[in-house]
Amino acid sequence: MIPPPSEDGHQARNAWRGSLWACGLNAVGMPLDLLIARDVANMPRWPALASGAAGVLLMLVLFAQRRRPTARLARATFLVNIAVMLVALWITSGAYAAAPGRWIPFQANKLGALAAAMLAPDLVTGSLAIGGFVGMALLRYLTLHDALQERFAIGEPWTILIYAVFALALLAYRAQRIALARRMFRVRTESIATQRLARAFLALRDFTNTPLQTIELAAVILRRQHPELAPILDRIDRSVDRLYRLNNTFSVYESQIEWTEEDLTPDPTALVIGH
Amino acid sequence: MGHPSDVLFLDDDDDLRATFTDLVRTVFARECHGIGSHRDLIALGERALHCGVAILDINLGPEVPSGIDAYGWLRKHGYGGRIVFLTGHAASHPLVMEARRLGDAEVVSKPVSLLALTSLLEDATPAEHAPQ
Repeated sequence: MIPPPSEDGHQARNAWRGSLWACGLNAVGMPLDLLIARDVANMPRWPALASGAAGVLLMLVLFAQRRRPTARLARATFLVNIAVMLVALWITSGAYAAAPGRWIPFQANKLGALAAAMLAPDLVTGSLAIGGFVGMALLRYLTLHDALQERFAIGEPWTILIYAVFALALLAYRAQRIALARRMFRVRTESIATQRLARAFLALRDFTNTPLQTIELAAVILRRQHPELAPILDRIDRSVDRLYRLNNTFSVYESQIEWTEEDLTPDPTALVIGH
Repeated sequence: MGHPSDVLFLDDDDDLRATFTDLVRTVFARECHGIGSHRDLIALGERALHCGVAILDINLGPEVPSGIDAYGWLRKHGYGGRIVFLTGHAASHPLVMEARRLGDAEVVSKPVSLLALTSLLEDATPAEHAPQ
């Protein structure tokens, strides 16, 4: 009998999946930035490439642990991935800000905050990631020369705070949904376990009813043919009666079973021992 | 040729079948035809159709015709006697539910007591249950 998946295992797998997607977005998204920045003077290529490479490396680490994913590993890889991206964005945003022409600032940070809300393994990790994207953008703005700051569009870079509010709201909503899904998963798992137990008990009862019936009827015949055996047969009757009463206690499980086609002609031994 | 006082007993458990047959002969002084499968029922043919009461186990094992199939065979061949399903399964089991829906057959749960068995056999009035 295959045990139902554990709640922790289910949670770890979801966290692992979210982290894998985040690292994948880094691996693909950051090198794409090179295309956008191809005409930007003095734009270093290595931050985007290094960030993308780190995303690939973290994906490999996660992939290696795909059979035994843990929430801890998912959190660690997610945060390392975000940290690598922030370092790269810190460097590239300086080159963007200094480049001629208008730059809409910190687009990657805004996108990153929203993506973190959708992919973070949990509420705390997600909040840290969103805080990282927003904090880095504001800190970077403060480190730029006044001349560069004055080139920013109206409301920039403070619009990122609106993104932060939306990202945190999305994260909270998602955390609530995950908590609900966990509760439903727990109820479902308990229901499956109860069904299995009920099936095994009822199979046991059905399996024993026939031999008990045989013993009872055989005792009736013996009582008729050998009246002198009455004291011994009384003991058999009492023992059979006790077993019947035990069997009756299993009746409470009848209402908990959802019968399937496989139950139409079941093999009781298989139901009890599981194969 | 069977007799209206005869009892037909269908159960796939050899020991229960032999014991039940002995009981009917010893305690009730009636002939009992104990059979273990739908195939045995067909082989018994006319003798089965002349029994006054047929007691059928519902589940005769995996992937073989059930007691409900035996019921169908009996009724199809003009059996007019009393049919009682004997089952060790839960009342909510699909086969038991199907047996209850048949309407002209009773469903009795295992284990059946001697008192209940006496009632089943004595209530079947042989003269009324000859095949049509």
